[in-house]
Amino acid sequence: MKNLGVLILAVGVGVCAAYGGRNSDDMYDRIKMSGTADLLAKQTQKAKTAYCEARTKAAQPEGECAPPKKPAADAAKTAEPAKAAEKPAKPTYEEALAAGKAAYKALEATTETLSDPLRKARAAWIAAAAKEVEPKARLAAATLPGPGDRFDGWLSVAGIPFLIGLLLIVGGAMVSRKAIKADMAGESGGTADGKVDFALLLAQLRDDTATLSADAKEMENPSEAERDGVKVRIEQLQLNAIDPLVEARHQLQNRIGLSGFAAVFSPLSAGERKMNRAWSALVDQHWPETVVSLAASSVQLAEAADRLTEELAKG
Amino acid sequence: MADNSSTQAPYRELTFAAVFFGILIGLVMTAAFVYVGLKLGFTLPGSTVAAILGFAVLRGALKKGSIVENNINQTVASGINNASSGIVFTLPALFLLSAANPGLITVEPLPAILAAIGGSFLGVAVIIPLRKQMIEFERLRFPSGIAVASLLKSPGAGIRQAKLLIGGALLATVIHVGGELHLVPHELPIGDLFGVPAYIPIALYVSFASLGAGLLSGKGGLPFVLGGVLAWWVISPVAVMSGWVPTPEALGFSAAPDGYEGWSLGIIYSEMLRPLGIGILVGGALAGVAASFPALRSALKSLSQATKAGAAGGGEELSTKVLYSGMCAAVVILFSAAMLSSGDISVVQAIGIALVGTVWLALAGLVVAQATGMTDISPLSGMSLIGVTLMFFMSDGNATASIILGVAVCIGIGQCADMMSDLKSGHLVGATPRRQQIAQFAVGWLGVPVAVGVLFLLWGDGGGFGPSNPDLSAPQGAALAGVIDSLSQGAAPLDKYMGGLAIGLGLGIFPIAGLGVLVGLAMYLPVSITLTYGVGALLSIYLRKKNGGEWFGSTLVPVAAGFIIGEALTSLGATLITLAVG
Repeated sequence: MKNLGVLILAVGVGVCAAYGGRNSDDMYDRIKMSGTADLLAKQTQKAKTAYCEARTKAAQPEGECAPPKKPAADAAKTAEPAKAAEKPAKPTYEEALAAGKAAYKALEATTETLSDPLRKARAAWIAAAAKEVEPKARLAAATLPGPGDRFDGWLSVAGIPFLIGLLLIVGGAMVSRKAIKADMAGESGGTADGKVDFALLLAQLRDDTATLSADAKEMENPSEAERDGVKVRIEQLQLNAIDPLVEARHQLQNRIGLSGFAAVFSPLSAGERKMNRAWSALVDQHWPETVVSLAASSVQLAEAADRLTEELAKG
Repeated sequence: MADNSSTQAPYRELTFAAVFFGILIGLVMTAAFVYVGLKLGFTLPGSTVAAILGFAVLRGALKKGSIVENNINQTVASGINNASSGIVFTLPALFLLSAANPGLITVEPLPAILAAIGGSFLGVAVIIPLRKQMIEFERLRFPSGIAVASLLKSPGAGIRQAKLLIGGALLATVIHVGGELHLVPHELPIGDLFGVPAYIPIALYVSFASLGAGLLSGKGGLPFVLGGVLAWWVISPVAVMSGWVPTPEALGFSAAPDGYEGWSLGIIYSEMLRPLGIGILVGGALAGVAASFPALRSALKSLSQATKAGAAGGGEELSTKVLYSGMCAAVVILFSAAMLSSGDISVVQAIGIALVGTVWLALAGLVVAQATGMTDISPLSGMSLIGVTLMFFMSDGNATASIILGVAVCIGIGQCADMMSDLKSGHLVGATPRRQQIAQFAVGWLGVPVAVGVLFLLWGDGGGFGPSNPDLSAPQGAALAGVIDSLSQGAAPLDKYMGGLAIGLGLGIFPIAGLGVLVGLAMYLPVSITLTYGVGALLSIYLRKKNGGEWFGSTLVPVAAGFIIGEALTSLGATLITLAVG
């Protein structure tokens, strides 16, 4: 059942995401327009680069190929004004076309005397630029579909398959949830994940920490070997008790609910953190902090065990 | 090492030295990283660098830093440095717009600084209840947090683990340096070798930090990989084969012109996957909030009870009062910043901006912290973009106000992710969360005036940075200026955001926490990053199964942490050399 749920969910996500990514017809047209203009611009740039390389080879790198001078204040001429109302009016197609043609004419005219190969390379560049004029004008005059229009347009071309995908996602997720709950209910009552008895392990951790804390308190001026012994015992508790408890947290969550889980894990995590602190203090050779932290860890872990007993008693 | 002469002295944690050197390191990093960000378009993660520098100063030079004291030092430094990315991704756009619109737009430092400081406070405040949820209950991995903790714990972890950490760091360094010298490719284009079409990209990003993050995440990171597979191996071919991306013929060419493949992939990414991924991220986060509401409520309740009772553990965490007063203060600061940002903003608009900005910051902070916790990858720019878009509409198309408030959002959500990662390190070394939070609250905002000051300094009389200045092109700022331009033409991809939101909410029903966030994040990134991370996650699952949990903790964690540390430090070194050499 769980696998079936995942499969339905995966199909749903695929359908949903694919149709979710589809653009409205208006947007598609706009992308098409900008694509044509962009790719033609690339061709023009490529032709210009070839022409400039030819000039460099011919030891004539200046002229049209000289790098543009940058006036400081023109740093961001590409950026547009802040408010739509304050911007210059968008050109009509005719205006944009006229401006494009004028720019092209200016580009076409040259007073430079060029050698044959250079003239050919330049002609190729100018020809590429000529192809750009009309698509650029069309793009400059086009308006972008607004957010509302885009949404409506998208709904009309992709709404139904998207909705079907969404239903599959919800259905698949529900089936998986149900299957996982059934799995949990089928597990033996005393265990958290089938391998770890959460309550037993937590009680053991509580007792071992209390013993360690008491042992540490008794050592007034511990030798290096004794400190190392405490460090090893802390590392064993971290590895053999805390890590498995943390790993089994999802099972605990499913068993006693989120609020109950939070009630147990809050002191359990605080106890874990205090144990980490005891380890750090040991490494820093600060014995009093080690003793205090182990005692605090013991208190927190005892509270976690009590909370777990309460939550389990609630049934 | 701690002061051994008197073991009765308090254990060193929140000390003057830790805060002082943290501030110093943080301010230097902020100024340097603003410059780096303007030049290269990205900043560098500060936590690892700060941990190493703090280690050198406190433990090395002063010979008295404890592990948890180093953690405070690193928390302070990275918290301050957080301003560098928050400022450099947003505020340059305002400078560029002011240059393009002389007289219409001016850049005033005060509103920007106010907004950024408000964002910084709010970012730390919203983390208070989330710490329990993400670190103690959900147990998010925060790979960089683990790496920093491994570094801090290295004096006591034994020679073997230290060797593994250093070995991992060296390997990552060698590979990264090889990449910088063009001896190692930045990407392995596996798909090209087998003639797979470009619209089904199969490539591995050569990054040991990504591999290390995957190794540390293990099976928890698999949904992230599946998200990448969905984006690039399902949606991309469907879009191309269904003609949803214009064919060469539709574009008026008889055959695919040069650059068509790159252009079509760009369209798939920018017009389909990225906005949809952002929507899924937000939907997934909303679903996560709803699903974990009982636990969040419990976390808040236990914080309140601890505050009232002053019981054991109560002093461990900042109280809910700080959360609520921090949020109120941030609303007031955002309101003031909105009013000061432009004379066109009415009081009602400013109230709306402050409230919506606060709510968005909290939600986006949650998204970024969750994504960082699961994968070590932050969708900061996407969340900031939505923040700016929201502010743009709330301010009736006022570019100045939207960017100023965008600065606050960007800094705030960055602060959330940074604080959470530091708290993860803190948890692993046994630091007191309250002290870390106090330190970040108290000094985290200090990077703001420095970052803004550096921007003004570099801008000079105008044109100090921007697209026409090849030395400092400010790519992120220019991109945001372009977005503002698009927004002013009404180009918000509402359809994608809404569709993504619905998918993210739907995924929230599935019983794996954070599924929507992971899938959305993967759609938002290039596939090569996702696949490298996926290789790490799969390898981690295999190795853990084969060698057991103890081996994972004692061997794989230090190696993976070394990968992350090695690449972070080498990136910094390489960047500094690049800048120095020019």
